Amino acid sequence: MTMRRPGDHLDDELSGLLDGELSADETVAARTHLAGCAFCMAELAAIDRTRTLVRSLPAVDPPTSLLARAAAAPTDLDARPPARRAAVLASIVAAAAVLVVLLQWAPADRSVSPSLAGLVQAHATSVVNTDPADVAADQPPGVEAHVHIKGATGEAEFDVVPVVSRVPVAAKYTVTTAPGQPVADRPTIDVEVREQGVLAERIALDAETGVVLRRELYDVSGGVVRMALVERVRMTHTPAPTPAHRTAGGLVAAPSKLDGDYLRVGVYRRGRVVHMLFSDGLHALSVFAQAGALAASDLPGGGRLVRLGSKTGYHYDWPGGDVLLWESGGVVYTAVGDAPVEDVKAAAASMPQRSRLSIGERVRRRCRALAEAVTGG
Amino acid sequence: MKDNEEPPSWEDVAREHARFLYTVAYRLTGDHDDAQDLVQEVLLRVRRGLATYQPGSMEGWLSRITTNAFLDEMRRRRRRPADALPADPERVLPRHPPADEALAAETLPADVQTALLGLPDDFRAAVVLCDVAGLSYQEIGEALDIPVGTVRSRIHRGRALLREALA
Repeated sequence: MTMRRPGDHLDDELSGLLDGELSADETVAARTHLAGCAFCMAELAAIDRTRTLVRSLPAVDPPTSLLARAAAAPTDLDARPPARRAAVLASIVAAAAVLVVLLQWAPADRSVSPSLAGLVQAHATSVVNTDPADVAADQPPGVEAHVHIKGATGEAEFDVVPVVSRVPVAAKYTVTTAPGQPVADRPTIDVEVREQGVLAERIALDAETGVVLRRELYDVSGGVVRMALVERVRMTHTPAPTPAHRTAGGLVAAPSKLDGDYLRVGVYRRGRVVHMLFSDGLHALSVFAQAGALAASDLPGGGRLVRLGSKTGYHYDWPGGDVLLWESGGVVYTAVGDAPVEDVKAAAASMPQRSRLSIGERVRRRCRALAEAVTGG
Repeated sequence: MKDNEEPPSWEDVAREHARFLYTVAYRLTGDHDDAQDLVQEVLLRVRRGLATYQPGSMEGWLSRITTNAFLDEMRRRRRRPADALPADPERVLPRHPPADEALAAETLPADVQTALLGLPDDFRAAVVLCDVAGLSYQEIGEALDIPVGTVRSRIHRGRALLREALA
């Protein structure tokens, strides 16, 4: 460990921070320094990238001769040690707990710290029973439900007006349907979603309204990554939020489509926040936009750096999916999605950028170039 | 393995943890022959040491044995300079694996492995135990018999060198 004078750049604290191995005091000191030092922020990103490369190295199967030589039974070589998988899971969970801090890039005419919990709630309680043309906001959504979500990072409960999407199921999915078991005393249709032949999701749709009553997301080995289950359902006539004007106040362009066949199904105003809602027919994606510069110090811990196309953002987990946060051209974006994270990232990365480069964007680009120069990325 | 059961036989350990052990050994040595030798040595030590194993983190215990065996081997090699790992990463490209191991080898991200091999042994051990074996700084400190602050420093130095090598 090195002794560090105030004002010096961070050193091995960066690895300690990424590994979640700093004391509370050290964490505060490191975060405070990072919030004001673009150099260390770029260093953090570069070390994080290197660390991820090593952590992504695949497991290596021993040659069959090894255990024969060790006189152990050589018949069950490819059985995966369950403890290894548990360790891998533990490391994923540990990575999710890592604190990463946002640098306040722009001279803040107005600094913004999105209320992640509030935006997640807004996403989870979204009404999407409109057609892609932003019409029919007066249609009754039909159903209110109490949802219990169990994910790798915890559990959450919401009273929601669930997404009822009329967007066709995107061509990227192979879907088969069959009559399903009742959920919350309601008849369902069982939908199996396959990607490249592998079962990715199983969804129980309410037979009458099309509302998702249960959703199980699987990993490649068939394990349940997360499950959302509607525990109570009641018919209701909750009004939809007020649709924003098409221009959304001139703040952001709300594209009609995002990568992954996400179609825009609504644009709403929630106070100073514009809420754009997209659907690929199976998953909802909310993109919230608010003007200003990202206020680093007010964000919760637990975020990780993430690459979103040419932008660098921050990734948080919530039990029902993923939250991505980034700033572009004086606008802070927060995307909340319940699709597999790579799909959410791809869709978020395809949000159009403003052409004008703010000072913050220029600083960020320079840092990114530096990070790429040293990591080969 | 549950607390109230007898210690596992070394054959059980070998079978159940072969992949984990071999992965750590291969990441440390970068060579299938050396990795096999290292795992053999580890299994010997497991065989001798199982009586003293306290139910708990089997993989932490195995990592400790693996790392100690690795570091012992490196110390032994240092006394034979011809076998020492060269400092120049260009010269430590893994040898072509035998045909029966080619399949496993060709799927490896060779650049990262090569960069790992370019690290000084102490740094490589710290990085592999952290990022491959998934141990905490505390566990790594116990495995290497160094303070936690030194663990952090070695991991960070190691990552910084990897980053340069991969640039």
